[in-house]
Amino acid sequence: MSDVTKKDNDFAPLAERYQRGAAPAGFADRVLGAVEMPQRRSPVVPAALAAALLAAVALVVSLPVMGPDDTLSPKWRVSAQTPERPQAQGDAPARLRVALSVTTPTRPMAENDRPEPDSDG
Amino acid sequence: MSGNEPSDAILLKRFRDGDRSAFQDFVIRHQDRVFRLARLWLYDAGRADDAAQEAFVRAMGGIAAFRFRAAPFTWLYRTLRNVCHEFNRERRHEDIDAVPPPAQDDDAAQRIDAANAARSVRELVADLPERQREVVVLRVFESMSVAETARVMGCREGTVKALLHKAMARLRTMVGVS
Repeated sequence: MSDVTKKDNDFAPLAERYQRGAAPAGFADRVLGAVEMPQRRSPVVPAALAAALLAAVALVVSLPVMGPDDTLSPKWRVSAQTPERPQAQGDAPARLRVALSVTTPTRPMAENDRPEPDSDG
Repeated sequence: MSGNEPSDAILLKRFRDGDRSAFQDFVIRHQDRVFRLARLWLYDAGRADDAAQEAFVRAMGGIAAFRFRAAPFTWLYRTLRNVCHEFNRERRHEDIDAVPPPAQDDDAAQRIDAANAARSVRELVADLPERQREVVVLRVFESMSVAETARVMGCREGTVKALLHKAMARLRTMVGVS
Protein backbone atom coordinates (compact mmCIF):
# COMPACT_ATOMS: atom_id res chain seq x y z
CA MET A 1 0.00 0.00 0.00
CA SER A 2 1.46 3.31 -1.03
CA ASP A 3 0.34 5.02 2.19
CA VAL A 4 2.54 2.79 4.29
CA THR A 5 5.61 3.91 2.43
CA LYS A 6 4.65 7.52 2.17
CA LYS A 7 3.79 7.94 5.82
CA ASP A 8 7.30 6.82 6.73
CA ASN A 9 8.60 9.85 4.90
CA ASP A 10 6.01 12.12 6.42
CA PHE A 11 6.70 11.22 10.01
CA ALA A 12 10.11 9.57 9.85
CA PRO A 13 11.99 12.30 11.78
CA LEU A 14 9.48 12.18 14.62
CA ALA A 15 9.44 8.38 14.59
CA GLU A 16 13.21 8.31 14.77
CA ARG A 17 13.28 10.60 17.78
CA TYR A 18 10.48 8.66 19.42
CA GLN A 19 12.34 5.38 18.99
CA ARG A 20 15.31 6.68 20.93
CA GLY A 21 13.17 6.31 24.00
CA ALA A 22 14.54 3.50 26.09
CA ALA A 23 13.76 1.91 29.39
CA PRO A 24 15.78 3.42 32.24
CA ALA A 25 18.94 1.68 33.32
CA GLY A 26 18.35 -1.17 35.71
CA PHE A 27 14.76 -1.65 34.59
CA ALA A 28 15.21 -5.35 33.80
CA ASP A 29 16.79 -6.00 37.19
CA ARG A 30 13.88 -4.31 38.95
CA VAL A 31 11.38 -6.38 37.01
CA LEU A 32 13.30 -9.52 37.81
CA GLY A 33 13.28 -8.61 41.47
CA ALA A 34 9.52 -8.14 41.42
CA VAL A 35 8.62 -11.31 39.57
CA GLU A 36 8.23 -14.55 41.42
CA MET A 37 9.50 -17.65 39.75
CA PRO A 38 6.63 -19.86 38.64
CA GLN A 39 6.00 -22.98 40.65
CA ARG A 40 7.14 -25.98 38.71
CA ARG A 41 4.32 -28.34 38.01
CA SER A 42 5.02 -31.87 39.13
CA PRO A 43 4.58 -34.19 36.17
CA VAL A 44 3.69 -37.15 38.40
CA VAL A 45 0.65 -37.17 40.65
CA PRO A 46 1.77 -38.20 44.11
CA ALA A 47 0.89 -41.79 44.89
CA ALA A 48 -1.20 -40.94 47.96
CA LEU A 49 -3.30 -38.46 45.99
CA ALA A 50 -3.78 -40.93 43.17
CA ALA A 51 -4.90 -43.62 45.61
CA ALA A 52 -7.36 -41.26 47.26
CA LEU A 53 -8.79 -40.28 43.87
CA LEU A 54 -9.18 -43.91 42.85
CA ALA A 55 -10.93 -44.74 46.11
CA ALA A 56 -13.33 -41.81 45.66
CA VAL A 57 -14.17 -42.88 42.11
CA ALA A 58 -14.75 -46.47 43.23
CA LEU A 59 -17.08 -45.31 45.98
CA VAL A 60 -19.14 -43.19 43.62
CA VAL A 61 -19.42 -46.01 41.10
CA SER A 62 -20.49 -48.52 43.73
CA LEU A 63 -23.30 -46.35 45.12
CA PRO A 64 -26.76 -47.40 43.93
CA VAL A 65 -28.49 -45.00 41.67
CA MET A 66 -31.14 -43.38 43.78
CA GLY A 67 -33.71 -40.92 42.73
CA PRO A 68 -37.00 -39.53 43.94
CA ASP A 69 -39.76 -42.07 43.86
CA ASP A 70 -42.51 -40.08 42.23
CA THR A 71 -45.05 -42.81 42.68
CA LEU A 72 -44.80 -42.42 46.44
CA SER A 73 -44.67 -38.66 46.64
CA PRO A 74 -47.63 -36.90 48.12
CA LYS A 75 -49.75 -35.10 45.56
CA TRP A 76 -50.84 -31.63 46.43
CA ARG A 77 -53.81 -30.09 44.75
CA VAL A 78 -55.26 -26.66 45.30
CA SER A 79 -58.67 -25.97 43.87
CA ALA A 80 -60.67 -22.80 43.85
CA GLN A 81 -64.41 -22.58 43.42
CA THR A 82 -66.55 -19.55 42.86
CA PRO A 83 -70.27 -19.66 43.55
CA GLU A 84 -72.29 -20.24 40.40
CA ARG A 85 -75.48 -18.74 41.71
CA PRO A 86 -75.78 -15.08 40.90
CA GLN A 87 -75.70 -12.98 43.99
CA ALA A 88 -79.15 -11.85 45.01
CA GLN A 89 -79.77 -8.62 46.72
CA GLY A 90 -79.42 -9.00 50.46
CA ASP A 91 -77.33 -12.14 50.16
CA ALA A 92 -74.13 -12.45 52.01
CA PRO A 93 -71.20 -11.65 49.74
CA ALA A 94 -70.04 -14.62 47.75
CA ARG A 95 -66.85 -16.14 48.89
CA LEU A 96 -64.21 -17.88 46.93
CA ARG A 97 -63.84 -21.38 48.23
CA VAL A 98 -60.37 -22.75 48.23
CA ALA A 99 -59.68 -26.33 49.02
CA LEU A 100 -56.39 -28.00 49.56
CA SER A 101 -56.21 -31.70 49.21
CA VAL A 102 -53.22 -33.89 49.82
CA THR A 103 -53.16 -37.39 48.49
CA THR A 104 -50.48 -39.80 49.55
CA PRO A 105 -50.40 -42.77 47.26
CA THR A 106 -49.91 -46.10 48.87
CA ARG A 107 -47.14 -48.32 47.76
CA PRO A 108 -48.41 -51.40 45.92
CA MET A 109 -48.22 -54.35 48.16
CA ALA A 110 -45.43 -56.76 47.45
CA GLU A 111 -45.93 -60.47 47.43
CA ASN A 112 -44.40 -61.04 50.84
CA ASP A 113 -46.17 -57.98 52.30
CA ARG A 114 -49.58 -59.62 52.08
CA PRO A 115 -51.21 -60.45 55.39
CA GLU A 116 -51.06 -63.96 56.55
CA PRO A 117 -54.24 -65.85 55.71
CA ASP A 118 -56.55 -66.16 58.63
CA SER A 119 -55.71 -69.40 60.29
CA ASP A 120 -59.30 -69.83 61.18
CA GLY A 121 -60.13 -70.04 57.49
CA MET B 1 16.39 -10.65 16.99
CA SER B 2 18.92 -12.59 14.96
CA GLY B 3 18.34 -16.09 13.71
CA ASN B 4 20.42 -17.65 16.47
CA GLU B 5 18.50 -16.13 19.33
CA PRO B 6 15.74 -18.18 20.91
CA SER B 7 12.20 -17.10 20.18
CA ASP B 8 10.03 -15.41 22.79
CA ALA B 9 8.06 -18.62 23.21
CA ILE B 10 11.19 -20.64 23.92
CA LEU B 11 12.38 -18.05 26.45
CA LEU B 12 9.08 -18.10 28.28
CA LYS B 13 8.90 -21.89 28.32
CA ARG B 14 12.36 -21.93 29.87
CA PHE B 15 11.25 -19.33 32.40
CA ARG B 16 8.21 -21.43 33.23
CA ASP B 17 10.57 -24.32 33.90
CA GLY B 18 12.56 -22.21 36.33
CA ASP B 19 15.19 -20.54 34.14
CA ARG B 20 15.46 -17.01 35.50
CA SER B 21 17.96 -15.86 32.90
CA ALA B 22 15.50 -16.69 30.12
CA PHE B 23 13.06 -14.22 31.61
CA GLN B 24 15.79 -11.63 31.88
CA ASP B 25 16.48 -12.05 28.16
CA PHE B 26 12.78 -11.65 27.42
CA VAL B 27 12.57 -8.44 29.44
CA ILE B 28 15.68 -6.96 27.87
CA ARG B 29 14.37 -7.76 24.42
CA HIS B 30 11.07 -5.94 24.93
CA GLN B 31 11.67 -3.39 27.67
CA ASP B 32 12.33 -0.38 25.43
CA ARG B 33 9.23 -0.91 23.33
CA VAL B 34 7.07 -1.56 26.39
CA PHE B 35 8.47 1.50 28.11
CA ARG B 36 7.87 3.73 25.07
CA LEU B 37 4.30 2.52 24.68
CA ALA B 38 3.62 3.06 28.35
CA ARG B 39 4.98 6.59 28.12
CA LEU B 40 2.84 7.21 25.08
CA TRP B 41 -0.39 6.02 26.63
CA LEU B 42 -0.07 7.45 30.07
CA TYR B 43 -0.99 11.00 30.81
CA ASP B 44 1.46 10.80 33.65
CA ALA B 45 4.85 10.10 32.12
CA GLY B 46 6.37 9.57 35.54
CA ARG B 47 4.25 6.45 35.95
CA ALA B 48 5.28 4.87 32.66
CA ASP B 49 8.09 3.14 34.46
CA ASP B 50 5.67 1.67 37.03
CA ALA B 51 3.22 0.64 34.33
CA ALA B 52 5.88 -1.07 32.25
CA GLN B 53 7.11 -2.97 35.28
CA GLU B 54 3.58 -3.88 36.32
CA ALA B 55 2.86 -5.23 32.83
CA PHE B 56 5.85 -7.57 32.95
CA VAL B 57 5.07 -8.70 36.48
CA ARG B 58 1.40 -9.30 35.73
CA ALA B 59 2.08 -11.13 32.48
CA MET B 60 4.71 -13.32 34.06
CA GLY B 61 2.45 -14.00 37.03
CA GLY B 62 0.07 -15.68 34.63
CA ILE B 63 2.71 -17.68 32.81
CA ALA B 64 1.35 -20.96 34.16
CA ALA B 65 -1.96 -20.30 32.40
CA PHE B 66 -0.43 -19.11 29.14
CA ARG B 67 -0.99 -21.73 26.44
CA PHE B 68 1.27 -20.18 23.80
CA ARG B 69 -1.57 -19.94 21.31
CA ALA B 70 -0.85 -16.22 20.93
CA ALA B 71 2.57 -14.68 20.44
CA PRO B 72 4.15 -13.79 23.80
CA PHE B 73 4.55 -10.15 22.83
CA THR B 74 0.86 -9.95 21.92
CA TRP B 75 0.05 -11.19 25.38
CA LEU B 76 2.47 -8.74 26.98
CA TYR B 77 1.14 -5.87 24.85
CA ARG B 78 -2.45 -6.51 25.85
CA THR B 79 -1.46 -6.72 29.49
CA LEU B 80 0.36 -3.41 29.15
CA ARG B 81 -2.64 -1.80 27.48
CA ASN B 82 -4.87 -2.90 30.34
CA VAL B 83 -2.41 -1.67 32.94
CA CYS B 84 -2.14 1.72 31.24
CA HIS B 85 -5.92 2.07 31.06
CA GLU B 86 -6.11 1.33 34.77
CA PHE B 87 -3.42 3.88 35.54
CA ASN B 88 -5.19 6.48 33.44
CA ARG B 89 -8.48 5.85 35.17
CA GLU B 90 -6.77 6.45 38.48
CA ARG B 91 -5.14 9.71 37.50
CA ARG B 92 -7.04 11.12 34.57
CA HIS B 93 -5.62 14.15 32.80
CA GLU B 94 -2.78 14.77 35.19
CA ASP B 95 -0.19 15.58 32.60
CA ILE B 96 3.19 16.24 34.10
CA ASP B 97 4.99 15.96 30.78
CA ALA B 98 5.56 19.68 30.82
CA VAL B 99 8.34 19.08 33.30
CA PRO B 100 11.08 17.05 31.62
CA PRO B 101 12.94 14.50 33.74
CA PRO B 102 16.01 15.92 35.44
CA ALA B 103 19.37 15.32 33.80
CA GLN B 104 21.11 12.46 35.56
CA ASP B 105 23.56 10.96 33.10
CA ASP B 106 25.26 11.46 29.78
CA ASP B 107 22.22 10.22 27.87
CA ALA B 108 19.96 12.75 29.52
CA ALA B 109 19.67 14.99 26.46
CA GLN B 110 18.73 12.09 24.28
CA ARG B 111 16.21 10.84 26.82
CA ILE B 112 14.61 14.24 27.10
CA ASP B 113 14.44 14.45 23.33
CA ALA B 114 12.79 11.02 23.21
CA ALA B 115 10.35 12.05 25.92
CA ASN B 116 9.48 15.19 23.98
CA ALA B 117 9.07 13.11 20.83
CA ALA B 118 6.71 10.79 22.67
CA ARG B 119 4.69 13.79 23.76
CA SER B 120 4.62 15.07 20.19
CA VAL B 121 3.41 11.70 18.96
CA ARG B 122 0.71 11.64 21.57
CA GLU B 123 -0.43 15.13 20.65
CA LEU B 124 -0.35 14.19 17.00
CA VAL B 125 -2.60 11.17 17.37
CA ALA B 126 -4.74 12.52 20.20
CA ASP B 127 -7.69 13.43 17.99
CA LEU B 128 -7.78 10.12 16.15
CA PRO B 129 -10.31 7.45 17.07
CA GLU B 130 -8.79 4.87 19.40
CA ARG B 131 -8.24 2.11 16.83
CA GLN B 132 -6.68 4.47 14.34
CA ARG B 133 -4.47 5.90 17.05
CA GLU B 134 -3.30 2.45 18.01
CA VAL B 135 -2.51 1.41 14.46
CA VAL B 136 -0.51 4.58 13.81
CA VAL B 137 1.51 4.12 16.97
CA LEU B 138 2.30 0.47 16.29
CA ARG B 139 2.80 0.66 12.56
CA VAL B 140 4.43 4.04 12.12
CA PHE B 141 6.19 4.79 15.36
CA GLU B 142 6.98 1.28 16.62
CA SER B 143 7.72 0.10 13.07
CA MET B 144 5.80 -3.12 13.47
CA SER B 145 4.89 -5.02 10.34
CA VAL B 146 1.30 -5.15 9.18
CA ALA B 147 1.09 -8.79 10.27
CA GLU B 148 2.51 -8.06 13.72
CA THR B 149 0.23 -5.06 14.17
CA ALA B 150 -2.76 -7.17 13.22
CA ARG B 151 -1.74 -9.85 15.70
CA VAL B 152 -1.35 -7.56 18.68
CA MET B 153 -4.53 -5.67 17.84
CA GLY B 154 -6.45 -8.88 17.31
CA CYS B 155 -7.73 -8.00 13.85
CA ARG B 156 -7.06 -8.83 10.21
CA GLU B 157 -4.24 -7.37 8.18
CA GLY B 158 -6.76 -5.76 5.86
CA THR B 159 -8.28 -3.96 8.82
CA VAL B 160 -4.87 -2.63 9.81
CA LYS B 161 -4.29 -1.30 6.30
CA ALA B 162 -7.72 0.30 6.15
CA LEU B 163 -7.35 1.91 9.58
CA LEU B 164 -3.90 3.17 8.71
CA HIS B 165 -5.10 4.62 5.42
CA LYS B 166 -7.85 6.58 7.15
CA ALA B 167 -5.60 7.68 9.99
CA MET B 168 -2.80 8.87 7.74
CA ALA B 169 -5.17 10.82 5.54
CA ARG B 170 -6.54 12.54 8.61
CA LEU B 171 -3.10 13.19 10.07
CA ARG B 172 -1.85 14.71 6.84
CA THR B 173 -4.79 17.06 6.81
CA MET B 174 -4.19 17.96 10.43
CA VAL B 175 -0.49 18.70 10.05
CA GLY B 176 -0.81 20.20 6.58
CA VAL B 177 1.18 17.55 4.74
CA SER B 178 -0.08 17.17 1.18
